[in-house]
Amino acid sequence: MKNCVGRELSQYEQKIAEVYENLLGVVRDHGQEMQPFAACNARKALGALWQIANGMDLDPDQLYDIHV
Amino acid sequence: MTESPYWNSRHETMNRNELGRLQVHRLRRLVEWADAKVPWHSQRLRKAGVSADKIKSLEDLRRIPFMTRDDLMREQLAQPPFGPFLSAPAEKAIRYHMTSGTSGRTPIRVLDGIKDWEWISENWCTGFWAFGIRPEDRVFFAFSYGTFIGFWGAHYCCEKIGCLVLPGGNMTTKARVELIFDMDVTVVCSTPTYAMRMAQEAEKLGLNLADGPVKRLILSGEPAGSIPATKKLIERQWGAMAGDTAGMTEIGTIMIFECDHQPGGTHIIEDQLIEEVINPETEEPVSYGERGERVVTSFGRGFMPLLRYRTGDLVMRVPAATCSCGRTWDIYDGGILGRVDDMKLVRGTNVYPRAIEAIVRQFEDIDEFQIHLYTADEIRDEIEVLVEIPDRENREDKDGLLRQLAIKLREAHEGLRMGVKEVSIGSLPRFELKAKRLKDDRIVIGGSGERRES
Repeated sequence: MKNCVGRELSQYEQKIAEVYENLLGVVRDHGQEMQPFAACNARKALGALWQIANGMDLDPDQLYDIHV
Repeated sequence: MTESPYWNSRHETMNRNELGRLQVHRLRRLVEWADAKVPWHSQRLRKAGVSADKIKSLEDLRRIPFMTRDDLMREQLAQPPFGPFLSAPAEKAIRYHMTSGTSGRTPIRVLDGIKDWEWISENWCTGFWAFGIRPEDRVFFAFSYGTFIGFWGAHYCCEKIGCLVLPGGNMTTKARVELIFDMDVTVVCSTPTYAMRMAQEAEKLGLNLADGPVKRLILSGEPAGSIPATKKLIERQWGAMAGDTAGMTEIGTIMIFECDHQPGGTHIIEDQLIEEVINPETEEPVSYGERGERVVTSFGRGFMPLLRYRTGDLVMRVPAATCSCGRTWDIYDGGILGRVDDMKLVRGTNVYPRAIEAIVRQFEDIDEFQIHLYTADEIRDEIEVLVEIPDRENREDKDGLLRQLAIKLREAHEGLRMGVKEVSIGSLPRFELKAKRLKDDRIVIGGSGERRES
């Protein structure tokens, strides 16, 4: 798995990328049915994961549509 | 967590070619976003013939039109409160901030989302980590925590790093100084002016800051953090290292920071921003070592994209190799040197407030000062420096200091005669934030008959 400037990601970076994508999917697909405590904390966690993805040059999208 | 002098070593030590490729990629994405979501940007980009797919190199950046503070003010006045700049509905934001408005102009209003605040604090983390702030530190913020963005991002940065944060809003200077000692604070964040104010207060309280717990000061909000004489004075008063940073509300965070190698300037956070330096008149880029105006393009804060924003800050860019820390990010030598419009013409000589401060701060007996411009005999520009000197009665050479100061000022300004006058203690304004020590009462500017508009 490579980042946006063509660098191969390390093992831990790949795992973080997966966590980010998974949580993003959960919030996108199930945000409406999540309890407030789960939805709001998931969005906050997603904001922090977005920053790691950005720091690893994974080119994460803007997330305003899901309030992140 | 590995011990590292860098917050993100890959970005901070990236070779310049790779950094350029990353910037081009991010610029393309930024243009794509602004074009798709903000019609105000879209119209301007289209008019200039710019689209994301046409961004192939950093040279292409120059085809994007400049944004100015006047644009922001005008459009926000026309379409209050945020103008046509938002890329998402305001209800998707989590925070509102505005410029301090100390210059008397209409404040700029901004919004940010959850991830924007992660980005804002991240840039502060880059700077704090570089200056040696670590999880075991206790960090005190001499900051009022209002709608002015100031140290908000630094506060979250310290929480992110894992420091113990002591928020010092709504406190007297005395209470702040006492808390610093009571809680063994190791890092203090404030403006340079207020760092000096706290030092005076400590002295009044009989507390010796130089023997106190503080090891590092993070300065922001005024250019003085990089004026050698001012910085030296603050470091001596506190017995601590002082590191300069500078940010702006329009990007929400800092764009430059000083690392603990203290190279006499500030590194530019080049993985998150593109900083250009241009001649403010010709709008052409200037070379390394030449003074010019900062223009910033920010890859963060997608809520209000900022492309080629003319900051009005005067800077001099030098290569990263000027510093021995290993970062490949270029440096603004001397930090922010002032404002492009700060320069005053007095009887044909250029006068910069920063240059005067650099001389005044060499005289440690001077507490507060003010640069006063006025018109004499209804025609002639005059300049005087008003100073407060505490404990004057106990000094041996009462007038020597004033004489010496006048000589140094004249020598540094092509022989321009400047008055130096002592004024009573407490008669000059004090500042906690963004000190304004120049008062221009002239009715005629430049001695050439150009009348003042207001």
